[in-house]
Amino acid sequence: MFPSPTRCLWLSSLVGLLLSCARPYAALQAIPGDAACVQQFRPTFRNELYKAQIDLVGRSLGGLLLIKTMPDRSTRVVFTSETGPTFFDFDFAPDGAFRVRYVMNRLNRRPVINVLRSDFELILMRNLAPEKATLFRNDSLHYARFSVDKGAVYVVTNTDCRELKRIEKAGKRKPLVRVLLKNYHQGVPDTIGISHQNFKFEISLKLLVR
Amino acid sequence: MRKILFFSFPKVQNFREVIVREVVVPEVGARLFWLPFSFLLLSLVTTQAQHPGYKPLTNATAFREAFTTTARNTRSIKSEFIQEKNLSMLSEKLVSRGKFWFKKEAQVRMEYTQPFQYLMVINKSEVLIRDGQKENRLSTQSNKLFRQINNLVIDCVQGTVLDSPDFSVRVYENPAQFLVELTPVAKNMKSFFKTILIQVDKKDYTVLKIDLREPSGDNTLLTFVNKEVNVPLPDALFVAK
Repeated sequence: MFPSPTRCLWLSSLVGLLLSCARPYAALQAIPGDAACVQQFRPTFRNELYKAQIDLVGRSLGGLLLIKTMPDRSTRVVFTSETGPTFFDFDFAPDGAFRVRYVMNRLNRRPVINVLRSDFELILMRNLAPEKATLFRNDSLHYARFSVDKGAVYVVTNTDCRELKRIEKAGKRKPLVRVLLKNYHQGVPDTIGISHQNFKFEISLKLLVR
Repeated sequence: MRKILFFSFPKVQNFREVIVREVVVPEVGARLFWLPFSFLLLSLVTTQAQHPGYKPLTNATAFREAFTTTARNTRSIKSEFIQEKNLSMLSEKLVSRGKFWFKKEAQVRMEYTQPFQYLMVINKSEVLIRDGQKENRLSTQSNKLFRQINNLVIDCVQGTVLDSPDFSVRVYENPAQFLVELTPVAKNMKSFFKTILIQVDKKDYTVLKIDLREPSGDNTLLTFVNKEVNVPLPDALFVAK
């Protein structure tokens, strides 16, 4: 007995839905245009201090995160405990170079530094050259795709590129990290969220008034 | 720049394990680390390796006796504090303020009020940390670092910190102040602090400032102001369960 055409339609729709969930970028349609407009969302950090909250597999860790642009235009990202001790001091140079100025001995592990470096590069929107980007869209959003090592970074906006929805770092098929930058004032977001999709690791930043 | 030693496997599992083992647990320890020195508000002080204006203490016995006596006579402390975190390579100073309470035996409440809200309560072996909407409760008996801190608390309260095996201790003086220099001996404490310097007022043996110096070259300076000693403090301040 063969299934009815209606059942086939339902089944194919269901399979399509599951595939689109598993591969959220597969349904995107390429569109012409350039991605220069997303540059407006690149934060212009000067000397901002954020209250940081890190949630990792059920554990919680707080601290202070300073993001400061130095006279040589490099950006320093420093994380300290509220009570004093410095955990790390990362230096992101304008030419794309990265240096660890300091990292607490106990944190000095390549996996830790690599993950944190990658996350902060998303916040800083570094190494995203608009001339190398390709544009996609779905029903309601535009995706500016930037190829990076082992995947891509998508800057997701509304269709007129006036509102940043999120930034996603993706593997071959699905997002690995989602970044939210909200409530820009003079080029600086007052709320920042980083969420890893493949394991429970989240960083929340709230701008402090000093 | 410090030399970095890398592992060779950048796996997500490694990241999670390293963070929990090496950061989350020790970091809570770091938060607690300087608190024992606050017990010395009436009695102790800090020092530097080479300290301009200070000379080695000539009468160590008298200092030790006075310190021990003052510590034993201190039943409670109520104070405000100003914390200045100096980021040496960035020429940046992060300033925060708050309130501090201590009550024998081994009860501490520390509340940051500006520019962020942060509460830490220690009641003997119980610790409560409230950070925004998040609350963490833990026991100082849960790991070695906590136990060392707990021992330090007891040493400070009893006035025996000068004999602590966890630190090498040097004491200096100038006409107005003592300067106590504590250098951690234990490896886990060394990762947080290079030296701890405590300035003590010679007039009344109260702590003026605590300077926590880190391996990075950064330091955190705590200044206690508006101190009140042996005032009644309700137990409700120190509920950590």
